Amino acid sequence: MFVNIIRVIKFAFQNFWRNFWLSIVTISIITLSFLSVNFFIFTNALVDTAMHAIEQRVNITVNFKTSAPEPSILALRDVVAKSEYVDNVEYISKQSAFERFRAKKEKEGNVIITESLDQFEENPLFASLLIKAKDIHYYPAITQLLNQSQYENIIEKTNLNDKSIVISKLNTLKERVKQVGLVINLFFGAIAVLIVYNTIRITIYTRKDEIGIMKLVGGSNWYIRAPLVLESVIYSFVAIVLTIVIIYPLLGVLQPYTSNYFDGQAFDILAYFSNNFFTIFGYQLLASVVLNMASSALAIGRYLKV
Amino acid sequence: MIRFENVTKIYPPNAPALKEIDINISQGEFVFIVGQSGAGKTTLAKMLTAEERPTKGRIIIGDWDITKIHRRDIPLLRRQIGVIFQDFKLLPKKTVFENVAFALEVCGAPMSRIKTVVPQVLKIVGLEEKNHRYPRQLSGGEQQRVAIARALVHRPKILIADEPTGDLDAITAKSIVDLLTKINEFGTTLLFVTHNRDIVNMLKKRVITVEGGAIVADKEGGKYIL
Repeated sequence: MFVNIIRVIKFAFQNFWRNFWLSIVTISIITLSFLSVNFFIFTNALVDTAMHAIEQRVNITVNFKTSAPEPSILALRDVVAKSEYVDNVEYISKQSAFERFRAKKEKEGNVIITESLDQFEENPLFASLLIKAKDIHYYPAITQLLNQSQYENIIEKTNLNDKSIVISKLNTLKERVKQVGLVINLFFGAIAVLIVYNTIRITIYTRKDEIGIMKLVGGSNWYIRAPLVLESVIYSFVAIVLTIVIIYPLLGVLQPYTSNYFDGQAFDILAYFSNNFFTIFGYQLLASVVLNMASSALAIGRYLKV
Repeated sequence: MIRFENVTKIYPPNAPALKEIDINISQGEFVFIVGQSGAGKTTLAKMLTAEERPTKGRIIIGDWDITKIHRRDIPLLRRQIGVIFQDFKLLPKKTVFENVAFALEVCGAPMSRIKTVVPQVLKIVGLEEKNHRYPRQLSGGEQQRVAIARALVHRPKILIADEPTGDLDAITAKSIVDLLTKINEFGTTLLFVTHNRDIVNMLKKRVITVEGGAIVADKEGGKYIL
């Protein structure tokens, strides 16, 4: 059995080399299909990161009345912090808010504002809570919690810093990317299948004497067919290696742009591809091998009468 | 050994190639099948290797009815029947040894068997000294000997020679016929398809004459009568 497998592999590689230029064209088309799939993965990852970055910026700011006693505010903070919907809650006291505001304006060099602040006898800023939900969909539930009547006398204003419109637009963009990506991938996939089909057909034609002799001397059907199927699998392997060789330098070029993609939300595209290397390229290889095997089997069934 | 029972072959849509053929060939026989081009003799030979199927009738080899042979069993049948052709059908990029070994390789024979059997059959056909040569470096007669060696590697019980001397000069053709006769004397049943009158008349073997798809003569020690 082992010697048979070795011979089938030998015949497959012979076919590959004998039709070298045809093999190159076939591999190029499969590589193009892989590149289109990877471009789709890249775009999708970018949109996902954008959405995640925006989701991170959504929060609820609760401003308290100046008359609100600090123990009541801290009690509310504890209630909010215990909620299953809340990721974290930050208390900013009146004094802290004042200092932050002053520091910010000083940093900006806004002398008029900083000097004006000194004129106030009393701190004009509110104490506040900054609440971040575990998921963007939990904000309505948190708002409902804050709207309870018992907190009316201490809460001045609840402000949901809503980015739902942007998120919705990004969602639409993501769907579009998916649709366009699917069409492009299907297009290249179909071309690759046709090219493989045609290559195997030509291989059968160029090897018709050899195949004829194989049949004449009682070569088993498996022996005649297997090298042709294996040849199509070799195309997939070479194409995926070529794709990896092309794609990594490209990612290296794109990396500086994606790392500054969103402030505070650095996106390392190289790391993304490296961390998901086997998932990304493994599934592509698997899909290509299955498609190519099916395609070559079709060509063999149609053109090789054993 | 070989039995054709009322075999008819009609190519679609309605072109009869063989008509109600009945033949019995015993083991070890040397039989000429003669006839003019298009008479149906090659169709007859192809039916033995299941390249063609009869439209009607039965073909039996030994105890094996191959009339409706399953596709997966065809390689097994072909390993028991050696075939040689007028145009040799050798692979030009393979040496003599590789051409013969190829027949064993594609049937999954182990390397040890290939190394034993191939030199043996090359010795039988007298080419043991030329096993590293390529077909283009050989004469026509030598190329046909390679084809015969290849047909013999499976030690077939039947050898079909389809116009094996068609492309050869008279002297070379004689040497090939001598070789085939020798192989037949070792017990291999030989079906020699030809329209070479001289060879048929010289050997005085059984001659089956086919004309228009039908057998018009079947005579022991016969002559080429067309």
